[in-house]
Amino acid sequence: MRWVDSAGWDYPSKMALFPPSLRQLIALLERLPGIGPRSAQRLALYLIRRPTDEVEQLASALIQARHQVRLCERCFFLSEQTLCEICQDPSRDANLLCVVADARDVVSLERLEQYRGLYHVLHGLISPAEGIQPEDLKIRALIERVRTQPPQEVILATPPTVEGDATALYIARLLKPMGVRTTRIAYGMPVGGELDYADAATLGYALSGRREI
Amino acid sequence: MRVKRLRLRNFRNYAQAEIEPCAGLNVLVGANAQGKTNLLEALYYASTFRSLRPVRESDFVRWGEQEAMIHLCFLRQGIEEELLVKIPLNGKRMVWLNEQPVSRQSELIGRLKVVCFTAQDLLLVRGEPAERRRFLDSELSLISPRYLYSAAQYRRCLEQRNNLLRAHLEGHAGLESLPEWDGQLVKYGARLFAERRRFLEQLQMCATEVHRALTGGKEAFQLLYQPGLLHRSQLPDKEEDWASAFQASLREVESEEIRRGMTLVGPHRDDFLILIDGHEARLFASQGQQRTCALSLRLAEVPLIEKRIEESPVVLMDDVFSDLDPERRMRLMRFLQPRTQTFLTCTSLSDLADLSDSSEAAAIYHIQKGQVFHATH
Repeated sequence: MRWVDSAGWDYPSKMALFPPSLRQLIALLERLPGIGPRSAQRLALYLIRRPTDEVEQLASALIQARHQVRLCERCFFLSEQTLCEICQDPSRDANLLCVVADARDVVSLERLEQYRGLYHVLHGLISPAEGIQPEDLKIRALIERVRTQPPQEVILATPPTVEGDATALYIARLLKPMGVRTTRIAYGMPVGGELDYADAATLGYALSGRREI
Repeated sequence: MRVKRLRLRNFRNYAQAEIEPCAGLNVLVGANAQGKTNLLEALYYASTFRSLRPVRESDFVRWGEQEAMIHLCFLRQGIEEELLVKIPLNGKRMVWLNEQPVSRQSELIGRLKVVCFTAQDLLLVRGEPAERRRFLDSELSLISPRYLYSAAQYRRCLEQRNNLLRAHLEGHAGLESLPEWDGQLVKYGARLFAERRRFLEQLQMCATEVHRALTGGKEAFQLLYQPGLLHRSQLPDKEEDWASAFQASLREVESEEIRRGMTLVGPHRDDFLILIDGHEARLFASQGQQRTCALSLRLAEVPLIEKRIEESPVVLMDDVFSDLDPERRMRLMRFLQPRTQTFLTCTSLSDLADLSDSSEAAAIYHIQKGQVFHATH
């Protein structure tokens, strides 16, 4: 008997001999991003060999995280309360607002320990090809936020891709009539990078965005 | 530039093959399906790291074998270089340049410069505009990294904008973000327009030189850029002016684009006309004239490359003699020899009968069932 999964993978016939509960675990793991059929099988076989309490810990961590983590009502970063830790922190500079595409970007920027302003997470970029329109993102909330509590500067830190640029330009257009200073993060040479190794596009941007020293 | 030695192992239908081509004309002669083009393909691949045919790299591996190998020694600016490529049936290709492993494709492409003419090139003259745009893209991508980048960005913007227009047409999206897509389409599109125009001017100069050589100056050859804009009467020069012309066209067709749900103007609608004595070659030229035009366009790469690197590329010609009369064959050889090292496939030596005196340095290789037999001229 052959076993062919939804992605068309043909398994060795012994796969079909796995007991039903294990097969179901494999099938569920397979749905996770970045996990293929082979990795799913490897993970499942690993998990069922671990001590029961360790597996229970993992299961309850999954459930807890799923139930308790929600979006901050102000900036849409992840939080267990109405407002996230950053929004609650009185030492943060409310005059600076940094707009990012993804919650992970907040973590990257925080790791710098250089930026002390607030954030606004869009949860995606405008991308009609993937069916993502402006109204699917937290853009309206951003405009509303800037209107009611205007910062001195909005920093658009979406990535330098076609979609990131379009999203930044779109937001900039909506912010323009409100008179708030709007900036775009710079792009160019990676720090410590050798000119030799930069690709031409990056080098071109670095050259046109040069500054006086 | 010239190839000093080519060794193949388990490549296509070759179990083992080795040639030490001469500096001038190298003729690969044999019946159909013996492996003539596979030899050209090995050289083409070692230059571009792309296949001549739409196949996967693993198809290079000879049936029943695990790994194909191309080993090439060539002279580049008078210095001998060595390129070794191993293509496994499963897994990633590995390349060594002068015994150093190299993984960055950009460091490998065009190390050996080749110009390759195949029957496919006839489509440059006879085919749809998309064929000519592909030609412009691949030529410009080799010359200008900025073009390569802009073309990729443009394609992405175009895809996004078309998706937005279509979603709007089908009633599940508003057009709120359209100005931003327009803005980026214009930004990247203007670069493509400007670079294509500039390139077509150079191409025209070089292709005219080739065409004059091939026809003995009997035909006037001309290229006419047809940008994908509404008004083509005057072509702007500067990128900014292309941007405003593109912007103006977009404004003019906006309501129709919204009605039809697609982008109707832009470099993705470009074309160029090939004119012989003022008439469009695609419609009015004979078979032989069309082939000569295709040759002129492709071989224009020879002077183009020479201007850039001050060295002649290696020329590969697959089955070039059909449709050419003896006079044009001879003129073709005179253009290529002794200027370039040339590899040429043909099915019979009689195609070369009237050329015997025109090329001093020539080597003939008989190709039979994946084996190469060297015969002195």
